[in-house]
Amino acid sequence: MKRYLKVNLLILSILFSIVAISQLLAQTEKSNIFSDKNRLAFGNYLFCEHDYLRAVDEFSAVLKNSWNDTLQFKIAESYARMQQFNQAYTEFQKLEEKSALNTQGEYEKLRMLFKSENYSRLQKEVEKSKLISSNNYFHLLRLMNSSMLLSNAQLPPKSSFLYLYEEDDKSKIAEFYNWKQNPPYKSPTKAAIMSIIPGLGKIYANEIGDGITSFILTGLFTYLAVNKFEKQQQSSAWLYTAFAAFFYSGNIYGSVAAVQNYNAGIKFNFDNEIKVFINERNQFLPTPKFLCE
Amino acid sequence: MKKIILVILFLAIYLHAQTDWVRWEKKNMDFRVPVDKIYLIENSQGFSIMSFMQQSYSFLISDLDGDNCPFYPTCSSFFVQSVNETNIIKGTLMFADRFTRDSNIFKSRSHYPKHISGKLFDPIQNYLLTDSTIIFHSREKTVK
Amino acid sequence: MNKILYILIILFGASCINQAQNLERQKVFADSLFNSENYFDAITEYKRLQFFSEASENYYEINMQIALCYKAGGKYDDAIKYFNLAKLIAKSSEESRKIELQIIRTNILRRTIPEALVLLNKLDITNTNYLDFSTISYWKGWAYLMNDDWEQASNEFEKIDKFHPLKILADGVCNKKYSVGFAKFISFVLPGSGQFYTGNYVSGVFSLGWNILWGYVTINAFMTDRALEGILVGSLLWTRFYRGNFQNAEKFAIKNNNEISNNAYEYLANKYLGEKP
Repeated sequence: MKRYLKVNLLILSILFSIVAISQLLAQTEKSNIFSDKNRLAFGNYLFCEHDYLRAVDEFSAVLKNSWNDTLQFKIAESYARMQQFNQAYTEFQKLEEKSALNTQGEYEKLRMLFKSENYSRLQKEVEKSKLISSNNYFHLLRLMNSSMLLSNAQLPPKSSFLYLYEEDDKSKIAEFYNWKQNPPYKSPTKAAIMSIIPGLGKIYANEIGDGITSFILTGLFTYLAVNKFEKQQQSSAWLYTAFAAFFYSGNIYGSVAAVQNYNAGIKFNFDNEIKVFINERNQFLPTPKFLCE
Repeated sequence: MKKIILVILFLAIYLHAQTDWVRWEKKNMDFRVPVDKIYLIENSQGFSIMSFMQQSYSFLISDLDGDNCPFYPTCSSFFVQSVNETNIIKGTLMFADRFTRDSNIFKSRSHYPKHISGKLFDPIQNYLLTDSTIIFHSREKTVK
Repeated sequence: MNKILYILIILFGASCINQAQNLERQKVFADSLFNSENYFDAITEYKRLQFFSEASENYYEINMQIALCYKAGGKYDDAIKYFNLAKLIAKSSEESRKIELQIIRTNILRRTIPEALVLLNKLDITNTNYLDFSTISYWKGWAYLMNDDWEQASNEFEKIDKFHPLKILADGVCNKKYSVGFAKFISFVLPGSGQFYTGNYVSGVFSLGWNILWGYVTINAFMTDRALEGILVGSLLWTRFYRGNFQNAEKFAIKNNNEISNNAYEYLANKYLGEKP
């Protein structure tokens, strides 16, 4: 009986120890909230909460112990979402060539260049990109062409420019193309010539109030000067002449400047419209699917 | 109901997480109200005949004739900056134009961007007649 | 054999409480960051604590601490959001009241005074059992202080104590302040006098000088049949300096008043020892 009890106790204790040790191991893993697994889980939670800076800290701590391309991608994406496009570009660059995320990483790098408005570099990188020979080359070419509308690059012929885009987008892109080739700018020279009549150049530059003011100021002082000359009051006559000349020359100078500012406004609005158009289409590039929005 | 409020609150926090996109530190207790920003922003640099003239102009005229100038920088600093940047003739022409725009009888000034001082932003760079220096600011945003 | 069994039982028990201990340690860690005023990192650790706490019983305290971190960092919008979150899971009316007061104090700091006053009035009506009137009056007083309304503030502090230090401070500020309307009015009547009232004598003298000069030139032009010049000088110079004169009187009075208020605010922030928002 005693022997039987001893054997039984031994079996029981072995069984019990297996349960206890496995439980203990599981618990230590679970309870160490700074373990890699837990940091990752917490980092993912922060990322989905849009708390990107803290998420980056968690991901970086995990990356120090073991390399993981998904995490590197998430770090880069966090910077992108915090609008730190240059830092995001550097982080996307760290993705290795053999990584499954390399292609998406290349897309993201170009997206970062576009978002940081570094168009000339974007165009150079597309030209030398390895992806240009792949099946998805048209993504890159669409982005490159669109970026050309925003930079000073020479545009290719219209037909070869347009054929890349989807049917729905073609008419709008054609509109942008025509605008870029013949922008509706006003001529500063014309403004200067028109302002021989005070204020007319300003009116041409759409500054009607300034134009009329200029006309009145110049006219008033000219009248006073003439009036004084007629009355032989030389000193005040010359004073008013100086004022008249001051406003008259200022009017010519200002008309040219006003036209230049008008043109800058036209260009600003045009660029804005293109940027909105391209951003609405996610820069024509595929977007990563596995991240929370 | 409580749940709905919770969801809305979470959503609001979600959208405002930007607070923590840059590390921040403790804010020292300070209850003071900010003084008029315009006085803090404009300073003339160094001593020169131009800055002496500007200071005398400010002291004798622009400080006394009320708040007439709707622009930042003010007409007098616009003149000084223009002359420093270009020459006396071009600077005077730029000032003549600015003065005309300043006395616009219709007060039609919707096309100027707003400056943080509450004035309209009208820097000399937009009037140097060189396309490259013109910076067009969005009218929806305030220039700092 | 029995010994082994005992050890195993102890280990099993230890593993079960290990988890709880770890969370406790995390809380101590977060609190230490909070106490060392490292608020940004404290928020990270509180969030981590919340993420790993399976039971939601800690959530009230965690959200409260996060809110306090944001408040200390001057991020009042976020602070109020987290206070509200904590309020929703508050277990007792006492906890609720504590948070409501914190929300009011954050509103005072954010200078959204109307909101603070609405909340205070609500507290006033509904919760007289939990708070004594002096607490409500005290924070109402602070709300008015931060709104630059020293007279109302003085009235509120008077309700607590006739010799309340903040009442004395508020009264002092009231007495020192210049009347903006009066400064403007006397300059309207006699150019330069408003500037004298506010202590800007040089400006006052020059203002008076310009007004006499351009007034004389304008009138002289009309008297000598130079109407156009009269209109020009009158509209471009005289009215300009006349308007500038009373605008300046008003500006100086406001500027002086701001300085007086700011001195008081500086005292409140750095030297006042009582409870602050």
